[in-house]
Amino acid sequence: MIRTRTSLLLVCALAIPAAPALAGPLPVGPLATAPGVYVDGFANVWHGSTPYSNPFGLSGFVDWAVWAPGTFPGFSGYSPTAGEYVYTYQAAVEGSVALTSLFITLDNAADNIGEFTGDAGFGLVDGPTPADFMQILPLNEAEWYWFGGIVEDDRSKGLVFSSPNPPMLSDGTLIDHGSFAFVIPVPSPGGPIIPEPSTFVLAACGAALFVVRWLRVRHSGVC
Amino acid sequence: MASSLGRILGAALVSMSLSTVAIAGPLTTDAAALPSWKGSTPFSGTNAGLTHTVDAIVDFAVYAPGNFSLSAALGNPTDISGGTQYIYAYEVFRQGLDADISSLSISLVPGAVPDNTTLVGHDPTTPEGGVAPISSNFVPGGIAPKLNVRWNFIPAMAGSNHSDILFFASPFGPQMLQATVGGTFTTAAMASLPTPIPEPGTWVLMAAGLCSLFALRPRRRRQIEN
Repeated sequence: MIRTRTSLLLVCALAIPAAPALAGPLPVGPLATAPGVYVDGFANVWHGSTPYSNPFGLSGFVDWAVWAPGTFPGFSGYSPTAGEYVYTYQAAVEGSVALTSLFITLDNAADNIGEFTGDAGFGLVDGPTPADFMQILPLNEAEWYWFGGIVEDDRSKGLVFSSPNPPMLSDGTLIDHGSFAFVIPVPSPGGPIIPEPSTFVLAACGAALFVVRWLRVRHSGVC
Repeated sequence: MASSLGRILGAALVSMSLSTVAIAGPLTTDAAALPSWKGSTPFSGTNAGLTHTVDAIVDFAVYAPGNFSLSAALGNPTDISGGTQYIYAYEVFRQGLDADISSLSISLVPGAVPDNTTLVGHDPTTPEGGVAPISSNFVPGGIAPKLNVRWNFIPAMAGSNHSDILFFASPFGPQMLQATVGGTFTTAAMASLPTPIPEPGTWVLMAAGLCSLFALRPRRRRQIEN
């Protein structure tokens, strides 16, 4: 009887350090593979997952997805700015230390920062710790703070802002354990869409041909 | 000519000395602090794209139990530990012309502060004054081994501003560990600051206790069997 109990205790003792190893790394979240995201003119699909880490134990990944105007799916807690692109992120913590802030670089216009949760048909986007403070510093950065931190194996809620501009690849910074890590690349609003000069030339040629043809038709009709 | 040159030089010297006074806070020369645990650490870093920089100087001082409230330089401030613990005090000075300062975060060794401690804050009443943080927190929150302490400045500290005296209490004396100053434009800078370390004696005592328990266990079982 005593031997059985001792064996059970030994198994339990061994299981404690083994548990994290068996648990394995966190799987990427739903945003990383979300369907229906923005596809740009070069057929780039704007979703993904970017890892971050530093030598002090701050590590994990940031899942992200960008949605074209009017296509943000049915998550709860956020209403995008009408007619704007929607930038979404979710930070996951894998290392043994807590994460207390995520800042995303903003080189262009952005507004309406917030959080969201829910399952829009491709997986639950949620986390136990809501942000304690968030703000947009125009042409500077988007900020989310968790004063008590997001701990190991947890995720943030969905993090979001709107922008009139389509995305470009940029970067961000995560802080804690008295250390920081960069996350590269993550999407951030790019410059506004400006038609290329060749577009104007082509349009002018088309208009000229149309006018010439119209004049010919008119001229032959008169004769 | 000579007198006007002298005036200009004099004015320059006065302005230099004033700017020195503005930059150097009371912590670095505080007679009440532990003699070898007061000073300044420069922080300088960039964002990932190397397009912006954050620069700061963090003054620090560590006070032995009971000495913090004796600091005349800080106006005899209230000791949040009631004089029973070491007080770790810091003051952040923004430097440079680019990013503003949004946070100071200092690493903690697990066990360096009690898991349920809330003895962290800032003192707006010191003669030094300064920008108050919006939050002063041990991380993670709740009852858990603390891994860092952090003060957030929202809005970020701009211009030539400096922070309030920021502080926390610990039963243990100092060592140097990593700390990070966070700035706007996704900038951050890392350097070392004093932070408590659980004394080796504590670990030795704990190990000795565990060994004793282990050693006693078979004897008890034998006694029960007999």
